[in-house]
Amino acid sequence: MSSPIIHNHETIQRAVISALRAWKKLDGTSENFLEDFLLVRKKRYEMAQHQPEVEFRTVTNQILSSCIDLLATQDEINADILSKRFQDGETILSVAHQLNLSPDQVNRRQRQAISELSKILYRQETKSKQLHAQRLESKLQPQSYSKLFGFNQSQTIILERMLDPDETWVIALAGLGGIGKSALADAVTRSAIQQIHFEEIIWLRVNNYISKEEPASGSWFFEFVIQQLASRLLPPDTPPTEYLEQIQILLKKAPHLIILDNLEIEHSTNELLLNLNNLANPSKFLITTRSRPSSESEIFIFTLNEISYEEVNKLLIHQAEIIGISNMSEDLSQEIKTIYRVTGGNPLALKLVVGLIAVLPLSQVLEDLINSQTEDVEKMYTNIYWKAWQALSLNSKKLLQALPLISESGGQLDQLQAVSGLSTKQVGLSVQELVTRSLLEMRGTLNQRRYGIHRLTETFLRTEIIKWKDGPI
Amino acid sequence: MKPEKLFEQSIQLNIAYWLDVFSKRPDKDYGELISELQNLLRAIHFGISTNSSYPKSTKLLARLQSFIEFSGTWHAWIPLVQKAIANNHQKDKEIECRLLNQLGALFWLDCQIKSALDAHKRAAITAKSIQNRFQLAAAHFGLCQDYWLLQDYEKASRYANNANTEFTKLGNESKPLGVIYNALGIVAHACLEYEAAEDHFKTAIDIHRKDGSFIELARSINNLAITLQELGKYKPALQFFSEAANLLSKTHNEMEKSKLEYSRASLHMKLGNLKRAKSAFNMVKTQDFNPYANSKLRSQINLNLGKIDKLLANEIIG
Repeated sequence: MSSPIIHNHETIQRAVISALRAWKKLDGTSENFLEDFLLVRKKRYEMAQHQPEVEFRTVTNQILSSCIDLLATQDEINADILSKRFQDGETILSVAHQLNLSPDQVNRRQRQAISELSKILYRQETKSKQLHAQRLESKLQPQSYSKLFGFNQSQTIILERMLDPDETWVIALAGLGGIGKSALADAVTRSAIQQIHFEEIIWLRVNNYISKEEPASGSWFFEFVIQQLASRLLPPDTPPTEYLEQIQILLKKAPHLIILDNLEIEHSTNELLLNLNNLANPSKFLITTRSRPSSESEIFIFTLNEISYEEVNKLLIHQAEIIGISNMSEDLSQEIKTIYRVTGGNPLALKLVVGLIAVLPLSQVLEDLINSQTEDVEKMYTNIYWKAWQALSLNSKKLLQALPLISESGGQLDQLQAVSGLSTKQVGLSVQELVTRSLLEMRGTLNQRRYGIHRLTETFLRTEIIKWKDGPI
Repeated sequence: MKPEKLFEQSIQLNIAYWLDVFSKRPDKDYGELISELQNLLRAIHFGISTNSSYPKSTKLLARLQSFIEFSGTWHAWIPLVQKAIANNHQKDKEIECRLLNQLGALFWLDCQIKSALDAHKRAAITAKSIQNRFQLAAAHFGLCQDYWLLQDYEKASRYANNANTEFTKLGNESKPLGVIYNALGIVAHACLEYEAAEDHFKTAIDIHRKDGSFIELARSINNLAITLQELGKYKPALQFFSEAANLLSKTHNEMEKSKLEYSRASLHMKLGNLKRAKSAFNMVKTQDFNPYANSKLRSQINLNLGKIDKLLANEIIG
């Protein structure tokens, strides 16, 4: 799917005239095939899944026919004139004779009909774009962030690469845990959806499916990706031996965006990336990963660094406002250098620190963080999480330890209450406490509030608190 | 209490929570629960991995079968049911055959007929070994459906009758009887015994109307409509198609929707309602229906659409 064209009435009308005139021609141009229209591209994609040999002209004519049918509900004679003139190839004189009109009248009505037809096509196109964007957005998890800090430039660069039809088929966002890779991938994907560039979007959360026993080799990951894509894109009766070929056909036919979130590819990276590159074009892969892939691979690697000092300040103030301690913003700003030094400008760590400051004296939090300062990011998180855990009330601990039971789509309040065994009032207070500490994220809509935890929080709970031995789901 | 123990308790509370949610909700209201799919998968994943929650988790799994069909998500559940079978460390035979029957049903829905047949055969052997007549009847019902799909109608008929006899003797639950009558109907239909098929489907519908089994009701109504079509009773057939379509519109079971729209389109074609037939065939092909239509269905649709276009062209010329 190419980049969107802003249609005005004049350009649509020109394209419609050109398409009507080419009704009986098999070959054609981008304009007379109406290729700029999502309606046409979607129909081609749908039909090609079942009739690979389908002619482009058939698709364009079907779209025009359905618009003429709609025109008939408004103005039967005008629709009839278009059908006779272009579908049946009759002359003005013949149509005039059949409809008891003068040739001038037929000409006038034909112009009017084309104008009306263009308006119908525009309405259909607008509706189709809205539905397309809605459908793709509904495939994403609810946003887990209220605002992103320090990512404006990164967002622009990645979006450009994502929409570029000629290069970069695999894009990797590499960076430390909690740096905001998934949030950035989500934000860029949402922007791409609005550009109506991709036919399909599939978000695969890799850590949801790999069990500890499985060897995480490149070929294993590739097989995992193929199976996941098959279950989403192919008819259920497709034999597994045909998965790869069928998926390749689909991904080559129309641009799909496949996001592999949290892919840990330390071994056999090149093998996996080579395989993904073979599937891509025009489809693209967006990978989020903690380990930077080797530079031998033909991919665009974007390393997410810690956010800048200025952005840290903005994030701290924003977070303080969210959790209702904006009166401490000034104190926070004064200590920003220390906070920046110990958290390294890591957004999740910063949010957790603000959460701690809400309940503990700022000086104590900073002292603890300085004393346990480490170069190892994982250890830094474990330290911060332990401090956050210890500062929680008993009921909030009871609730938090149960939250690995809630998926990334989040759970509703009554489920949180059920799994924690707390009363309605207690669970309400605990939710408030955990949200304030950035240990619980609010998701969903205002009408259907859902709650979930960050992956790093889940990892901390699984490894340090509940000591769960089985692999993740 | 240690957090590990507390978490185990939370797993149990979570299973109890979902059992409660599903016990209160009739099949037709499952739409609201689609957004809970990932939480349900997690509930089962943790539940079957913990000894104390294992038996109740397998009960929840069984309870979820209608939801799985409603949501069209059988593919995601197959590995979990397989894991549940592997985690049956107590070697509870009743649980084993219940899970095997469920696995067979999921494989059947996923069109993996050989695996379905294997699971149902294993379920039948296990059920026999512990003389569990209910699970044996359920396995026979599964085998009936498998053989029907393999076009071995003799075996399909035999297993349907076995299951019917057993379920009738047990007599305390209506839902299995409804699905059995539906199975008897499809076997009779396959053997071109349309009057008998009509009777079976009507019995199944009566049962499902009372027990509120939503998907099963839609399926039996659809089957009745197809049979009535064979008997030349076109008007009631169209009415039943509409009723089934209305029921299914509330679900996410795209496979059933595809099958229904295909049957309805075929009838319109037979009746000469070419434009309606064309639009119904196209409906099966496009949008959400698309990925679920199987390859046989798709080629048949394309063939029919070609025929319709030709007939419509002739109409214009004529």
